[in-house]
This record gives sequence, C-alpha cells and structure tokens, in this order.
Amino acid sequence: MKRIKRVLTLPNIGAGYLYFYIHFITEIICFFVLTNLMGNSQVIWLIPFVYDALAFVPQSIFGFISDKYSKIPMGIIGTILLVTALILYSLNINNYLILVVLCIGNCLLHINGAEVTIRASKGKLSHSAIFVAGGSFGVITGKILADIGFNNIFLILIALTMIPCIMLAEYYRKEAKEEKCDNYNFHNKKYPESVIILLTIFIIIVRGYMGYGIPTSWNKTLFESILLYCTMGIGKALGGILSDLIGVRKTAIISTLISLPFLIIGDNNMVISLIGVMFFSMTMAITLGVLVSVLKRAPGIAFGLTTIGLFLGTAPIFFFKIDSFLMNTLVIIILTIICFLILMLILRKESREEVRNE
Amino acid sequence: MSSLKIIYDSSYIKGNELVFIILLITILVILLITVFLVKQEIKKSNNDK
Repeated sequence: MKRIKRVLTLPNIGAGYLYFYIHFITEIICFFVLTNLMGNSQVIWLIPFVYDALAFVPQSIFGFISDKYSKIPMGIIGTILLVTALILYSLNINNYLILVVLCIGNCLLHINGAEVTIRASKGKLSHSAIFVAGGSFGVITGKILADIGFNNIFLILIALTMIPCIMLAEYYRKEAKEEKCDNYNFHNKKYPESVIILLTIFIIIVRGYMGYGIPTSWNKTLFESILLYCTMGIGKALGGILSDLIGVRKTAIISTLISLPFLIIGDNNMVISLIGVMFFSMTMAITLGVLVSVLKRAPGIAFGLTTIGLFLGTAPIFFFKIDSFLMNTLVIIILTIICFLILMLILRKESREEVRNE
Repeated sequence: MSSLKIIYDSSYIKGNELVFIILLITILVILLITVFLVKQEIKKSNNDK
C-alpha cells in the first residue's frame, strides 16, 4: 500500500493529473464535434477516417517542432484551435475545415501533454500513463454530450478552463529542466535502435487493430459503453503505475498474457471481457517508454510514432472486416503471442534492486 | 481467406474523391518526413554515445 501511495505522489506527478484533465476535455470537444458532424453528414465513412488520419498522423511532425522549439506555447495554441473549431461548427461552416482545425488543435494538445509529462517524469511511466488515460473518459463523454444535444457555448467555456491547467503544468516541465530523457532506459541495447522502433510500432499497430477487433457482443447499452471506455482508461493508467511498482518487463508479461484468455472467453460476459480490456490497455505506457528510451532527445517524435502506429492499426477497420468469430479469435491469439515475444525481446531485464529503488 | 470481408465501397467517397486523394498523399508525405526525422534522431543519439 505504501509503495502504491509513493507512486501516486511521485515528484512532478501533478503534471500527469493536470494533463489527465486537459486530455479529458480535449477528447470531449473532439468527439462532441465529430459525433455531430457524422450525424449531419452524408459521408459517415469519410469523416471518421479523415479525423483518424489528421488527428494521429501529423503528431510526429508537431512532436519534432515541439522538441526543437520548446518555447512555442503548443497547448495554448491547441486550445484556441479547439475553441475555433467549436465556433466554426456553431456557424455551420465547411465540415472539412472544421475537421482540419479540430485535428490540429488535438495534435498540439496531445504533443504538449506528452512533452510535459515525459520530461517532468524523470524516467517514471505513471505521469504519461495518467495523462493518456484521460482520453478514454473524454471520448465517451463527448459522444454522450453530442447525443443529448449539449450546448456549444458551455463547451467553449469548458475548453477555456484548460488554459490555467496548461500554464500550471508548464511549471513542472521548467522545474524538471530535462534536455534529454536520460532516465528512460527500458529497451534492450543488444538490438539496433531502428529494429526496436519498428518492433514497438508493430505492437502499437496490433493494439490499435485489436481495440476494434476484440469481440464484445455484450456491449449493447450506453451504460456498457461507458464501462468499456472507463475500463480502457483505468487500464492505461494502471499500466504506468504498475510499471513503476513492479518493473516494465513484469507488467508487460502480466498484461499481455492475462488479457488473452479474458478477451476471448469474455465475448458474451461483460465482467470477464472488461478484465481482459483493462489488462490489454496496460501495454500503452510501456511502448511509449521504450520509444522514448531510444529517442531520448525527441520525446515529441516518440509520442508521434505511437499515434502513427495507432492510425496504421485502426485504418484497416475502415476497409476490411473479419467475418468469422473463429478466425477473429485465431488472429487475436496469434497477434498477442507475437507481441508478447517481441516485448520479451525488446525490453531490458531489470534487477530486483533496480525496481525497488525506482 | 473467405472470412475476410471487404466493407469499403467506392460510394463512400462519392463526390469527395479529391479530399480522399489529398488525404492519402498528405499521410504518405508525413510518414516519409517522419522516417527521415527518426533516422536523424538515431544518428544524433549514436553520436552522443
């Protein structure tokens, strides 16, 4: 219990909590606008595809800019763009223009969150895991608010509450004074950096694909959808917290191996399935940690690579579907085993003392 | 594989073909730039060692 308390009160973890809120609000706005645009549009297929592409892929470029020019207030510009997107939506201006503004705002806020939480964390994964977890709660809240016809003006006011949080979180980054993320050392140095990066992106692609491929025929009501998204968020945060408590390698083994049977048997049982989803979401923080370990000077690009992986994983869902339950289960089993083996290869073995001292 | 069903239909982008093509080109260009940037970063980190 004492160790859990120690992890949750790590130095600078306030940046993680602040960005949990910022990420939560960002996703609320994005999914509020996206759900409304899809409801009004004839091109229901194209709008989410454009959103996925523009919100995920350019983050590597914005990450590079953020790494290079840390003085650019990415978070503030991102908030202004989100508010602009809400205003454009209220004025019923061109859907694609709204999407472009919304997605760039989304990218900037994500990149700023990653930069601040990674640089302030001094090699811990809890900070960025707590930041990323906020998104899952925001996605479902944004969808619900759009469905009940929530007022845009209130949402603009809620968006503006992010500005003081961004300014406060910036204080943590300045205090950490991290030029390079030298405390991130999770990868196995036996293999070349390019191989580690490619294998890590492969794991993220699989996670992106499985996020949609997991059989969840139990998920039929709004309450069940809320539970599913909240469990994803809790799993993401737990991944980082558990990595700081018991080590990255052990967390990777536990999360990948335990999730598999739960996900497969849980097709018709909500509780079993949710346990699987929670464990399955835990690898998120680990893959980000590995990429930052390789690209120590460029945490922004490292985060951008994770979002590119997510896009590449979700893109096939727009074009193909595995029709048979048996085949889908087989694909999930094979992909999970491959990911497990890759994680064992690319993750450095930590000694007990190392984990204890962390 | 018979269980793999194609769900994409060209009618999905009807009237928006240009948007779709511009989007695909943008994705491709960003991916290429990212590969270049990552290569540069790996070089820099190797020089640091």
